[in-house]
Amino acid sequence: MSESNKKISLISSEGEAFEVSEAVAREFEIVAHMLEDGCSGSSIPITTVDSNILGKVIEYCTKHVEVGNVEGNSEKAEKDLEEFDKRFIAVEMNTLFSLILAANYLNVKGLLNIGCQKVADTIKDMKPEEVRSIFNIENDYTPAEEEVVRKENEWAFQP
Amino acid sequence: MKTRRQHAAEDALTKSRRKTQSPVSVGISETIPFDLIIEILLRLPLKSIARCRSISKSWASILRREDFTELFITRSRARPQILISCVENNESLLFSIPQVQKPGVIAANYIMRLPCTHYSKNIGSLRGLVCFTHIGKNHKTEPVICNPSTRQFLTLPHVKTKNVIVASFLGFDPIDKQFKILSTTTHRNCEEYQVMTLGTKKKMSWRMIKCCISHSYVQHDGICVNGVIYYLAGVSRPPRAISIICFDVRSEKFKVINKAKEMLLWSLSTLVNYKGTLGALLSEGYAEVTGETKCFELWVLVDADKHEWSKHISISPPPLWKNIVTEDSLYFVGVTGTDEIVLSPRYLSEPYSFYVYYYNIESNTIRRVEIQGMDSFRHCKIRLSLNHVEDVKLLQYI
Repeated sequence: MSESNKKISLISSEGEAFEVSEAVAREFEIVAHMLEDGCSGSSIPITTVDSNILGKVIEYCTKHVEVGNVEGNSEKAEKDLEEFDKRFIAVEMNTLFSLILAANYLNVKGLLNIGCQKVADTIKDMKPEEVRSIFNIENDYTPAEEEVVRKENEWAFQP
Repeated sequence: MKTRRQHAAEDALTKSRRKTQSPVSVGISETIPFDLIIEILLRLPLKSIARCRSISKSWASILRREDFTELFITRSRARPQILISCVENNESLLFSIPQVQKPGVIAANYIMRLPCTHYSKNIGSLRGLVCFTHIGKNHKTEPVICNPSTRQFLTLPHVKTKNVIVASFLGFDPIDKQFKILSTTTHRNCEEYQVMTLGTKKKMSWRMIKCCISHSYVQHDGICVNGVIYYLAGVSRPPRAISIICFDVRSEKFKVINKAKEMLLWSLSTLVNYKGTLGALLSEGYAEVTGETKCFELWVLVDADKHEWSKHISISPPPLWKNIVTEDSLYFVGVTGTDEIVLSPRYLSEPYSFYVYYYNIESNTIRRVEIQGMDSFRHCKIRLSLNHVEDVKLLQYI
């Protein structure tokens, strides 16, 4: 059996097993390190990620491994992948944060990058009040202090 | 014994664990670790960053953290800009354009204006900051430091001299991460050198320093490369020629570099940062480059102690040069990281037309980019600075 056909089971926090090829599993840098360290077991528990999110991360990695394996026509492939990323990351905020946390824990750099970029794009034109509500941040400025900070950054509140 | 990889894997795990255990202590961010908040904020444009300062004290403190501001500069280096300063009456205006340009038309992005009185001069743009000097009240030379990325500026104490002719240069010491301004002037035939360290820990003031190299006729356009300020001046001791004075920003020591024999270096030659070392762009002995220019040269410093230079390239402008440059009278701005020499006019013309020229050393081709949106400033003096980056550090913390 060639190495690329080897299957690995990733176990979600609920105990659900996801069977993926080794190439896909290696997209999780954390798993790649375990395999290189001689961790020979064919099932790897991912205790901090639930089934829903783990499924999505696997979908992301599978697509990226697939496209990475196609030879030639790289420009089109790159564009397709960009389109895929765009659709993939268009999720509601809670899912987006869960994906970022999972990507950070599993060390999937590409996903972490598009996730953080998506949050940044979402909040970049928002008013401070809206950003506070998304991140559920308590405003710890007194009204007077907030006024001073606003004044110092007045240019940024103009259209 | 553990392998390096095992260590790396363990590091990665500990890091992830540490990250998830040290969250920002507010709201949903209880589950969003600190490092991830930073990752998100790094991807915001300047305007959003400025607005985010008013979200909460903890967010404002993240945006002040040195690791955050350093990372922001690093990311910004990947998309350098050309900063355009334009002096009009009692104001200096700042604009920017992306440095990487295809031929065509682009609108200059207006950043801010700052009040400057007479003889306002841009004395340098470094790591996101830009410094001007002007003659303020009491006929004293005053530096004004400005961070275009936070729209802040600060007028600094005036240079301690009775002379109104002062040449000043902005420098940065990359080891202590400290900005300094060097000012030189001559008073009653006596040369004076003084330095001010920027920073708010102590009250800023000028310190007189000694210079063992007597030099005069200091040219006002200097540059700082890797912690050394370079400028052109006439050296009094033999060979009594125009030489390059080096000022080490950290040690505050002066040195002189003589030109190579064949170098047509003169007082208005342009010093440039060529891939992190000092370069000089020379054109037939004149400062200006026109459609008629037949040849210009790029010299690169090899060894400062041995006064050794290499003639990097001698350029015969390509056939289309004359058609593209037409009547414009240009000066060298510098060399980009992609080996392109940038040229620009010194004044905005009437009727308005403003082009920035890119000469590609490798392909020996020239192209120009039309800059729109500055037509209210005809006749104004302009100065371009390459490799401008965005620095979100507030001036209070420089």
